[in-house]
Amino acid sequence: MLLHGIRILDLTYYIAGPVGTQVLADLGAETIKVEGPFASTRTQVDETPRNGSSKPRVVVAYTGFNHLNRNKRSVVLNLASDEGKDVFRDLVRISDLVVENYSLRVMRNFGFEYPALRQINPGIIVISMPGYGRDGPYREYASWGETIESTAGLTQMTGYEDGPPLRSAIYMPDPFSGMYAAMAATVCLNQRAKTGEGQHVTVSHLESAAQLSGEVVLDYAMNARNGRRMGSRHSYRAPHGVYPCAGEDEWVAIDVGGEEQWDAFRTALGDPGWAREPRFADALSRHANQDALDERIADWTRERTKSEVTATLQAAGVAAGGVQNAADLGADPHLNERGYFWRYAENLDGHPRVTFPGGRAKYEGAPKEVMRRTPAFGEDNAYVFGDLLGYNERHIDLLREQEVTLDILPTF
Amino acid sequence: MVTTAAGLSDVRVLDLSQDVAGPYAACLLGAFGADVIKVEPSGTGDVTRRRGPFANDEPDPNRSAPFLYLNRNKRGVTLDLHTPTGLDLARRLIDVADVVIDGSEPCSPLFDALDGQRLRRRNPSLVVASVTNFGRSGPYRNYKGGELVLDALGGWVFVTGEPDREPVKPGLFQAQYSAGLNAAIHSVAALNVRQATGEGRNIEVSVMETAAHFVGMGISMYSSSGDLQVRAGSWSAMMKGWRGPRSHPTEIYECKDGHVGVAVQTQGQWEMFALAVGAPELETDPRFATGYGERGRHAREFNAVVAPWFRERTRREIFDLFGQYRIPCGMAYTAEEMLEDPQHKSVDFYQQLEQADGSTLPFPRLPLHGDSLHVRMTRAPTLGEHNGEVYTELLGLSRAEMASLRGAGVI
Repeated sequence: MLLHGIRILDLTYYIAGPVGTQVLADLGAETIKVEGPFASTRTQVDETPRNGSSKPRVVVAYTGFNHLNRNKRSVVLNLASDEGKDVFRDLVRISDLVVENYSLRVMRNFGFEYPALRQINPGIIVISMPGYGRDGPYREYASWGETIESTAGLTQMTGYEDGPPLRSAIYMPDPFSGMYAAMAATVCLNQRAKTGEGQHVTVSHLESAAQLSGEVVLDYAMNARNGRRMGSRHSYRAPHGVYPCAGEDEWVAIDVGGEEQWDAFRTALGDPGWAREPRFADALSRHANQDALDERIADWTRERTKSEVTATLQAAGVAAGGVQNAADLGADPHLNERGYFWRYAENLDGHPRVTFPGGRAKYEGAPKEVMRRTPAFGEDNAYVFGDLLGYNERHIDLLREQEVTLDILPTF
Repeated sequence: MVTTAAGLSDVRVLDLSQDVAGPYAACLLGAFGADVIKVEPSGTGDVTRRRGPFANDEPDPNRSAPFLYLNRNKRGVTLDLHTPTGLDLARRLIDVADVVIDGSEPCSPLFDALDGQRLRRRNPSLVVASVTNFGRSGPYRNYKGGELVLDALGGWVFVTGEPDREPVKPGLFQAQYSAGLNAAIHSVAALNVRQATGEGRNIEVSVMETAAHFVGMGISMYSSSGDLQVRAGSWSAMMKGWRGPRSHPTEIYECKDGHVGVAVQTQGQWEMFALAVGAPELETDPRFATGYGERGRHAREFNAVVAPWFRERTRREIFDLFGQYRIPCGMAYTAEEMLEDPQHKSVDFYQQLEQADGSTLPFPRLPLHGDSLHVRMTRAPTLGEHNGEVYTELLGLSRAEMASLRGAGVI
């Protein structure tokens, strides 16, 4: 495993930070979630209907938490107390990285800004992930991935031609900035191997997302033009879209570029008469007349399943793919053959079996299965206090008595 | 005193990839200081050189926006890898490289020649990152696909769009960029192992699989409870058939001069929202005021109440007001507005970079800030710009050899 032997103190919560440490944990870094006594990083109001009840419940270890925190360990530590701060300092002494995505004031209030941590361990690498970075007029503003994607220019470029800007449905800036945090971590580790020195890197959520819209900014600088959303269409390729298939909410994506592909596409459809009409004769005409073109294609796809359309067109060398939902993905023959999924035999929240995407890349020596299921609250207290820090029983009992740590979840 | 390499400046990367994902990976390694040599097909160059937008909308292989963006921080050479001489030269370049970014698809005639196992028999300390659409194996390995098809098969298109309309592609090339970032992360992690052991590694990244990671939470939810994530417009994630409570407002609202995105998810943020918007119904109407998810159940009625407030104000007014109240808010920005944004200006986020044609263009700096972090930005190369220095200085070819290669169309 590529990060075997690296230890991370993970102070992250919600999505962006946990994705970043998930990338590193999946690569074999020993990732210790340092959780506060109120378990606020793992509780959520569950709105999913269960057993006929639609009442929201406060639950622990909700699906998102389970999903993002596999391969990590959990220790409970009250960082607001002096005793908790002492334990944290001991942990910093034996760790390689601290990753946190609090707002700016939190680490400051704990007294754990980088200079303080560096004094404890000059090799420590600290990754911070505030929404807008450390500087600038927005630095104290609150943000979520859902709002950052607008300011980063992504919603303006997503959505129907005739509709308002549209969100990504997956909080794109969160996982993307999480990946940038993992990028920073690997680069800092590379640097530390040469210099022995740690460093502090701040990952801006907004700036991470704005890497994705760089081409649009260039288009403006070059042509004084602001890009605009165009549904699933393309600025010059046609057909390029999502077409209805047989069944409820079933769709297929088709993307035809160039004359060779058009000929292959036409042939795969059985060389229908309409495809030989002059208004579809060349790429420019097809793009100009794509409303009519899309109607003809939809007439053909509607009679078929998305798998049939995909198989027929791909066999002809035409880019096409079913619009897969989560159920399709879990059953996808390609992903399954490639060993894409990891599975829990038993999940933390009692569900018998959970499938989720495994590591983000394949490499020799990569784990084929999840190594540790998502830890219960404080599950690794004994390991961290005893095995790693070498505290004796009395010391650990004292931490419990002083409520510096907890072994079970508080009740809500 | 031992001098140490700044960033990755002791690393040489050979970028044999084209299009978006592989080149973005190499661009990032270059940003951290690696010497990146981009190898492009002689004559035509990378496919993005033919993809617009172009400066002044005039097609020009040296003035394509995507090419200029994705190939910063690199030197550029041309080489016809489909000739024996060209492939031999590529092997000699690989001999002096630490990392190879290989974008060849399984259907490419170069797929076997550039296979990491094979390359590492010759040079075991090499890190070879393969970045392909669907991966190196599996039933879809020979599939054709660009961003739309990859997003569709990867599960991202299905959840994007309005519930009562067709699904829609996420804008731009986000899955391919993510795959590039993914490959860069894993390449550096592999370099770190090499620092300790001297051993290289093969890395394999697939764009479709990178996209499917983004809907991973939906996959784990479906497998555990059978709940299927469906399209929810700009609202928070929604499960099929669900009519019950959910958090709100997570929404994009129309205002006087465009749209703002709002996401209220904690009780504290809700109290601030009610205070900032100041509509009395919000405080008293049980559909809105009580319970975490009641507003989501009545989202349409809720929106009808607050819509006028948003329509009477500009994005900037709302953004700054919500900023004071610590309510998460974003302005639906165009490119022009991003360039003008005071936050970006205050940290020089968009940096002006002089291009080969003498024009100056804005590029975002890396989103990483740190006093000791070594980063740089240089413009993308013109086609074959560094043939001379790479082939003569690095490989030691003579002028006569260069001339003959040029004559044969190999470079």
